[in-house]
Amino acid sequence: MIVLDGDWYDGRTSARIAAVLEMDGGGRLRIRRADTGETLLEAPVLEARVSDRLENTPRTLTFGTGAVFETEANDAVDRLLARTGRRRRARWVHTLETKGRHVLVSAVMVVLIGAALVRYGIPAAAQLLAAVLPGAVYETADRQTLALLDRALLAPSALPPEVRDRVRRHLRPVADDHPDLGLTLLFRRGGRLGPNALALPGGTIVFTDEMVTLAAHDDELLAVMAHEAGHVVHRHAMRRMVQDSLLSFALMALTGDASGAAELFLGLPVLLTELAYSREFERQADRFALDYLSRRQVPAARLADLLERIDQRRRDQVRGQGGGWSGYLSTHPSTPERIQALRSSGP
Amino acid sequence: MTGGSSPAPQCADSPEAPGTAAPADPVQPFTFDGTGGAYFRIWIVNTLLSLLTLGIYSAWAKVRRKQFFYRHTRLAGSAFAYLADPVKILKGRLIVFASFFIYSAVQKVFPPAGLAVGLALVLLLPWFVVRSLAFNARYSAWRQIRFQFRGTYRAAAAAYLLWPLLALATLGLLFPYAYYRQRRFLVENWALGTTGFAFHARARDYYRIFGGFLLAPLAAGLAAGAVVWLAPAAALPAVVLAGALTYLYALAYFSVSAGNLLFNASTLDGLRFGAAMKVWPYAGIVFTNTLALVATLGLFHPFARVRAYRYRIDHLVLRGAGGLDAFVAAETAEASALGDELSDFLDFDLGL
Repeated sequence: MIVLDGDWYDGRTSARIAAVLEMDGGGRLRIRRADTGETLLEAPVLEARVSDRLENTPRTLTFGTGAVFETEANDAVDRLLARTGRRRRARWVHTLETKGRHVLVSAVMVVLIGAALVRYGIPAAAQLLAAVLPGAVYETADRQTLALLDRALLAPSALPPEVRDRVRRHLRPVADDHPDLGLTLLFRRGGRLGPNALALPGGTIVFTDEMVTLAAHDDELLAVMAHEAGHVVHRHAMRRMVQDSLLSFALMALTGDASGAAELFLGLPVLLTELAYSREFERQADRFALDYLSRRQVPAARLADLLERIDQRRRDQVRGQGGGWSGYLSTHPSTPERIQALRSSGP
Repeated sequence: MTGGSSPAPQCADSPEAPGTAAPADPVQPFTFDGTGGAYFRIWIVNTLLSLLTLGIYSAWAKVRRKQFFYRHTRLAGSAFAYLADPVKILKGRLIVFASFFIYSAVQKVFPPAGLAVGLALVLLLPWFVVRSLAFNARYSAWRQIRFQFRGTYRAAAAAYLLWPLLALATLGLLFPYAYYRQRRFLVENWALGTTGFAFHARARDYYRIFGGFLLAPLAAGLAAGAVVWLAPAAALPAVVLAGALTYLYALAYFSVSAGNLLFNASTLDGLRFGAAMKVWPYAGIVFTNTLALVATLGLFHPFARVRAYRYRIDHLVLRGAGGLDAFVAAETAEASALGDELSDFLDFDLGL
């Protein structure tokens, strides 16, 4: 005979009645008022719908009439269920949740799977998605990104038209050699961006005036163009957009809410991860540029030369301003590292 | 069993509901006896199984999560219960994912049709809000009396489409009013069994809250401006610090004052709720939670959630002479999980 204390609710009103449940050897339940002993219900145990166990929170036995016996005697309820021979799905979930060993293994697995997802899963998914997106999406992305850049950062180019024509002519082979990419070269004054080049998702490539001025040889610009073409070939810009959305979505799903506190902390890991993705992209684009340059028989050192000069200029500026924030959180691998990689692989 | 051991929280600034109010009214505190450690175990298993089943288990995970918080929350010695069937939640989720997939496919192939589908979705929004609230209410219970949500499509359309649109048209001037209408829509259509809730807040209460909410950034902006003017060298760290603190404070201020007002203005058949959260302690919880989340790469999440939830429950009481034994269950049809899951997907925070 199993006896447990609890409360009785008739399912029609919120009145609570202290009650006692007894199960005899034949699997028959009898529920009595705790004070008067009056019988409230008699039924076979198989008629009761028993709620899943969750820690030691109150457990309910619901009967056909909507009446409920509620008790905190969880172990006794488990014994009662075992007596009826009914196996319950939630039992193993409860076991997972309560055994310290299982919880530890779960935690380790979640961390490992999470890390693998961020490191490999999300980039792979983004690559697949970027490949199946129709061309119209890329065109729209280019148009919108360029409009945004023009409004926020860039200004119309101030280079003399003959310089622009010369550079355009010199860089044409890169576009001609990759007709499927639809490469379009644009010039803009970089302002705060300084000497820089940007590759938009759909093949639009923007050179800043500062970059053109800083180059000592047009082949240096050709090398930069090849590097940017590498970004376009590998769909880096689109992949980054897809990755960012996937990453934010995954973190939101993991924490189960998007409340203010979560938002505040989601920003940092997302930022750091994006920077890691982005450095990987730069290395890939550098490799693409090296391949191309060696095929065109342009010395690989051209890219390194220009990078070195940009780096030098940036260091001069930093010293002048006395603030070292920008270099720390860089989207590119450290420039000396890149230069060394470029020089060592040159012909 | 009626919580006689815990002292009744002071609730100085709650507006008195009309008609009642005697200082000797019995006070029933809400209590929460779950721990962060216990929720961690549930959360980590939920997360692992959801990952391993490619998200399918997340419906069961949601039920476990809600059960944890409901069953640990008590009023007058009785715990709340969450009774939803995970299979229904899973079905709702699948339908939502499928319709979003169809929507984006249509938009890619034939953009004008995508626009029409988008417009249809906007018009469906109030329906989803109502279904979602009804689902959540229907499967929440206290002493085996289920809650009910009785809002109509028309009222939801007014609260979630008409007033926000008018707020936009007036450059945000009507925004607090729109927010007030949404809260009112929530509370007035909510019922425990057959007993409806009533809402006594006025629009000007919400204008006061939004005013205070805007004051914090203003003050921080002035302070940062002063620092930049007086000591330009310290400008960047000062601005960053001021920004972070303001964000935190404004967030806590809004959660606390809007949360307090929501409960203090709500009554249930002569019983009044009293919420007495304070801004600075709550901001402290949010701040330390944030630091710990960053330091543990998110593993602190379950502890953070329990801490914030416990603070809210610990400052909530129900007072009034009426008994808690006379609520009567209502006969209602089963609610579908579709609306609930869409709201989950679109990430509405529906309060309550």
